[in-house]
Amino acid sequence: MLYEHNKDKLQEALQQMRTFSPPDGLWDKISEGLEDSEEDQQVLNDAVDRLPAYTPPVGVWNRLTRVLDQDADQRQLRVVRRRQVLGWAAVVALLISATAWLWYEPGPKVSLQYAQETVQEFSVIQDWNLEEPTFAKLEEVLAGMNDPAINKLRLEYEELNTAHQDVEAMLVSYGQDPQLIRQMADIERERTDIYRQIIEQI
Amino acid sequence: MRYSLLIGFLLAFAVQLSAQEVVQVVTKIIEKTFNYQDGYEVNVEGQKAEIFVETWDKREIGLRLEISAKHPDKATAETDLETVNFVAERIRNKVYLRNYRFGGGEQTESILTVVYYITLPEDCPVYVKNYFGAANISNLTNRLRIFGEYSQIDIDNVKGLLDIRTRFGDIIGEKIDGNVTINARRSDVTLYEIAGNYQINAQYGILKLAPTAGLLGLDISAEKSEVFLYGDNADLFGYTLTATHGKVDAPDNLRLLALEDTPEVQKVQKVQIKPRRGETHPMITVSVTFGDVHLEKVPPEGLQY
Repeated sequence: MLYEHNKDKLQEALQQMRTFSPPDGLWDKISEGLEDSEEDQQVLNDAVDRLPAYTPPVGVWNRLTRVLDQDADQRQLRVVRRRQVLGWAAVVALLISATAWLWYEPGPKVSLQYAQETVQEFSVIQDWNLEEPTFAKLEEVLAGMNDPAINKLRLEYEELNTAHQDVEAMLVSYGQDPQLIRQMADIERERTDIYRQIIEQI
Repeated sequence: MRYSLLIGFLLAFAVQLSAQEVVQVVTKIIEKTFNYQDGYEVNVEGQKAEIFVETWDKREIGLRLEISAKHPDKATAETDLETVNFVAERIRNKVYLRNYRFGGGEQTESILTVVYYITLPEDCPVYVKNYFGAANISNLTNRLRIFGEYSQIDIDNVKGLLDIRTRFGDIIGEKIDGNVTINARRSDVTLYEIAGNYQINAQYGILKLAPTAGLLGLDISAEKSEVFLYGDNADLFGYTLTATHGKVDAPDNLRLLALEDTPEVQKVQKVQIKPRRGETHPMITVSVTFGDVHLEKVPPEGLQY
């Protein structure tokens, strides 16, 4: 914000300045001088009549018309092109939105449900390794043998041993499911059968 | 006497009732739909999962995944339920569906079950890998690959290219037509009403197959297995059946041509059966080591699973 330091002095100085007024009738004289008199108008008309008249060559008008037409065409073309571009843009936008709508895959819908079941006996954890010391003894015996027929049975035994471990791991991971228990029982039956065959051949 | 019997029965019933237990079942349901385009494949990797694959007319792949935890205590069931994770996503042209357990080595207190219900267009190729559990697949027409371990596989009305590998998991199939390759170890294979071309390798299993007139070829190579072939019409196929350390059984109405029968020396029995009419016919070749081959009529009561 501006601030006048010596405002009172300025006002005092302005008041001391001299005033001038124009002489009387000055404004009327100026006004009369600006109005056209009839004589001046006549002089002007005469001067215009004396001016020479030129007719332009025919080609000039043709060229001018052509240029004007061309300009109009170009302007029309520009408008048409702009409309086409806008049209295509609208089509593309529509296609993109339609495709996005069609291929939009919302995330999975997750919900929870609660129920109750009555079971005979829930999750009795069974020890499937009661016979392991017996099998371990057999493995010790087999380690010192190299008979082709026994080796074949040994491969079968090892495969069933791995299966036993796989089912056991699944019982730990997914619980005492009846189906897993049935699978374990089947594998144990086969493993015992192989054990018997090996014992018979040793 | 009558009263004492009644009291005894009631007591037994009471003991039975007291052994019963109420468990809380908490189920997480995941539902998702994928848009389907030609060239897409559904890739399922289940862990102790029951997988149902069915078809519909929509160009979509629908998934309903149910993960349940059962335990007498609701809070324990809820906690254990959260240890089963799932994936349901599309990466380029493959839709991956998967479940696995976080901290799989830790003993869960609940019984956890996983069930997939997948519905897709019939021409959608499917790859199922399942470790324990079961897979039920029906009505597909394109390409089906299955790799199962400890998982039963049920297939019904499937056409096209089939590649099935299984260990410790039986295969049961009906109305299958196409180019089929099966590798089965310690698994029984039961396939009825089959057509197309088959290449089967099996060890330690019982194989039961009933071909239809649409069978183009069947080649079985088995070890320590029993093979049963069912069929009434002797004019449909030519057979070459070989049993090493085993025997070949065939019905009396078929004319057997013994190619090799050395039960004492090499323990090989090899027979050939040619249809009475026609020069060209589909061939059924079975070769079993340490097992028998049985060519049987369809029993009057029908085939059993």
